[in-house]
Amino acid sequence: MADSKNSKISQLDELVNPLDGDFLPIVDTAGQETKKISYSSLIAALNADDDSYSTGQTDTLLAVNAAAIAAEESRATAAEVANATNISTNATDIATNATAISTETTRATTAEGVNATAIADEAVIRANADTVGLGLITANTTAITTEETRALAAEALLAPIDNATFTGTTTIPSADVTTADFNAGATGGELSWNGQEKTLNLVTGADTTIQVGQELVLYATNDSGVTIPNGSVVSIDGSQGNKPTIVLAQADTVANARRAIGVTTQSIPDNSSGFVTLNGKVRDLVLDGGTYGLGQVVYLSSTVAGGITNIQPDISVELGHVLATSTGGNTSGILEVQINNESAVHELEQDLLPLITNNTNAIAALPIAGSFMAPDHSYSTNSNALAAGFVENQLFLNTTTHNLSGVYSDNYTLLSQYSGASAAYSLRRLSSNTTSALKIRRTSDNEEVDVLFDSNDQVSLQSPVSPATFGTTLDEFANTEIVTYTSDFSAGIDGWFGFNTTPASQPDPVDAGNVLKVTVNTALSQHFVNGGPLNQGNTYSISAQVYVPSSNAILDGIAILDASGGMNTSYDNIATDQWVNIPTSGTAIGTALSIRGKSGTDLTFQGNGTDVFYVRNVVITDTTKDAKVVTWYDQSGNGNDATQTTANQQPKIVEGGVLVERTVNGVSSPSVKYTAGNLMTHGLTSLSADGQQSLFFVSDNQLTSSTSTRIIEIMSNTADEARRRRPLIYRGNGGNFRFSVDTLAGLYRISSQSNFVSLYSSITEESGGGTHTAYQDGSQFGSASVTLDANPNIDLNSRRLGNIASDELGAFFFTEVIYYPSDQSANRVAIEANINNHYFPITGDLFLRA
Amino acid sequence: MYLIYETEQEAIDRADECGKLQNYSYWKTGEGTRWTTAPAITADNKWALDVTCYLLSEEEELVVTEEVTFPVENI
Repeated sequence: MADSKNSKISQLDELVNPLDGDFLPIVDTAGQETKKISYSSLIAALNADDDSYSTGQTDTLLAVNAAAIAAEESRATAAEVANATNISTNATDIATNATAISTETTRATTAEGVNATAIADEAVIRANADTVGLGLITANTTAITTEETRALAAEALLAPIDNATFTGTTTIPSADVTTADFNAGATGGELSWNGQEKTLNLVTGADTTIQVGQELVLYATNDSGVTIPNGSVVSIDGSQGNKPTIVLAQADTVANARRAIGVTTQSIPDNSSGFVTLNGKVRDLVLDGGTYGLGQVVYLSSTVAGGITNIQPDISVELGHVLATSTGGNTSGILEVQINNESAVHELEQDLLPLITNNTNAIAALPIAGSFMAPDHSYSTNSNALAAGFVENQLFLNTTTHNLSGVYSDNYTLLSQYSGASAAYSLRRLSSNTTSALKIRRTSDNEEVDVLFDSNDQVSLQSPVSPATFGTTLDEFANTEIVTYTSDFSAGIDGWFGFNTTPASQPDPVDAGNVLKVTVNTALSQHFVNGGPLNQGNTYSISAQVYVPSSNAILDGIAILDASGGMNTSYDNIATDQWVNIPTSGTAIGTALSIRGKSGTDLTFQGNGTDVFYVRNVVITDTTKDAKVVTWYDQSGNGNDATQTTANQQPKIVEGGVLVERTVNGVSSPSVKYTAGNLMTHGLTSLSADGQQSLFFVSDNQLTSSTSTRIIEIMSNTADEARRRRPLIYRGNGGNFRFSVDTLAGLYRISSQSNFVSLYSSITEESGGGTHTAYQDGSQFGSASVTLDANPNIDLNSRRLGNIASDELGAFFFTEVIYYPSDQSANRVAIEANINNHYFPITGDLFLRA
Repeated sequence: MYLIYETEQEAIDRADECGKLQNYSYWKTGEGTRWTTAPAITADNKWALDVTCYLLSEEEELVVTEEVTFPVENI
């Protein structure tokens, strides 16, 4: 209980334990009086009936309060969630900020370090600048002062540019002067180096530049009345102002030609001056290559005033040589002027020719046998001592002095001009009536064509062939590789035969189709199959495939070769159970291809009767490229062709794709090559009525054995007539090359005198009762009395053009053979000259008959 | 290596047989090459055919010979 004093109760808990007699004062603010309510009354009243009010209010308030509390709880909860989110966000932001702060702190720290270093460096630089820089400045100042001093000294020594005067020794370095002008302020007088001509160019100022030391020119005035073009030949016709005056020159008369002095090196208008080149180059000329050749000598024209020609006129004024030609009329031609005026020679000739003619006629009338007369009328017995002269009624030229090669050519005219030949075989055209030279056989496939003459009227690889089925030229015909065999085992063994084997057409062990299956027998021998034809001596490239099964017990290799052992290629320990290529190549000595089984390295082995090998895709290509002569056509018009229809006796014209040729002094001529067993039969069947005959032939005897062999036979081989009616040209046992026309062995050349290309002439004439004379390359090497046979009706059964013994070695080459059944002594020199001119560079004396 | 025949015609027939196999011009055009080798008379008046480059039958293989004497042609 509270103390009894009437203290104010301001807090409910201040009256902890009220008593019923205690009162609660209530201030009646309206009545301004304080009233008392006893605690007991209050409690009674509180527990009275009106507690419905107080209870309901209380419940309402409680509900309101509960709702309010719930709302506040929700708000609090939401606030807490929001706060938590915000807290999290803030924490993240704080972390980010912390990182940023850390980064910025690092940057700031680094920057502070750099700044510090820079500051330190600057300090050092400043310190250095204060010391080193000052030194450099001082040094530069000194250097400048020194250079100023030098410059002043140099200036004091400088010569003035205008009117410079040098004293003492002055050297100008070569690189310092590229052009010197000796005529300042005007055109002309410039001197500069010409690297192409290796001299100085001097510009004249008159549309001409002179190459100093290489050109000699004349400054002259044109008073001809017309412009003289560049490159015109001119002559002097007078003088004007101490300069010569010039006009166009012409070699129409000796008088005009004699005055020619040079070639204008520029166009010179009338009444103007310009340069004429007396010696040196004139450029910018029209000298088209179609007309002029490099190095060609050109002359003053006799028909065009001032003109140039490459055809020497009668009055010859050599101007010089063409150094460069032009094309299509452009002006790139260059002429080297070096005048050789021979007008006086012509003048002299005009005076002397009538005298020479008179003298020649007089000399020709002098029969001085065995002597030679030179143009100076001196006599000699040795033609070689003279360059030219006369003997009897013939002019001769020593061709050692006078090169006449190529001057004389009349292929077509030989047989018409010197008619009467009964047989003529040649690889050049001897008559305009001739079209074909040869009929030949290609050895690879035995095809035959005629060989015509080429554009030079002789046989060459460019010669057309007829028919053109196998190529249009001899080259195409002869140089084609021919597939001569391709196997076909699809339905049989394709002509192959087995030796100690059984060949059969059987299914391919790998691919579709049939192949050749070869089963060995049990013999102790070789085991093979042969097939695919080969020609002995021909060259081949051969391909084939074989298959050897791994089930074989003995046979483990293959050899491919020809049936006689040539072209032998072995494939030992061959890969099994697969097709293997087994190529081979070479020259065949057998007549068939052979594919043989091997055991180890042995071709001979004991067969087991079961081992097999298979063959397929056999292809044989002939690479020989030979062509042989079937017919050598007679060009005499008598149809006496030389023929050989037996293959192994035919001589060659193409060997290994190359035309057979013989060469004399660098000049090559086609030739027919005879080797052992070769012969042709010519068509001559009768001889002359009086036994006179002439034989000309070009040949090269390269036979080397000591056996006897025949070269040309026009004779009977019947016993009682054999030693008459020949010519028989043969090589005797001793190697002598013999010319027999009767029963005697005849004239001869020893082996070393005949083993080169020569022209032989054999003349049998009736003079002296019968004389045989033989010549080699125009020189007589023998003459003998012979008995002429006047019986033309013998059996001329030995008619051979080449008949080389089967055991002969080496080769014999024919290029041309012409037979006259008459004495051609009178024409011999001319016929020989014709033949010589074609086949031989002329090396001896050439005689020209009047 | 020769085959010897009693008559020239027999030898020619065999040479012709080979020539046909070789497809020579004579057998296609009637002119040109006819044989690979030609029959030649022997010293005893038989005919020899050089068959070195011929494909021979088994019978021929048994009778080929190198022993042939040809008549000598006097110069």
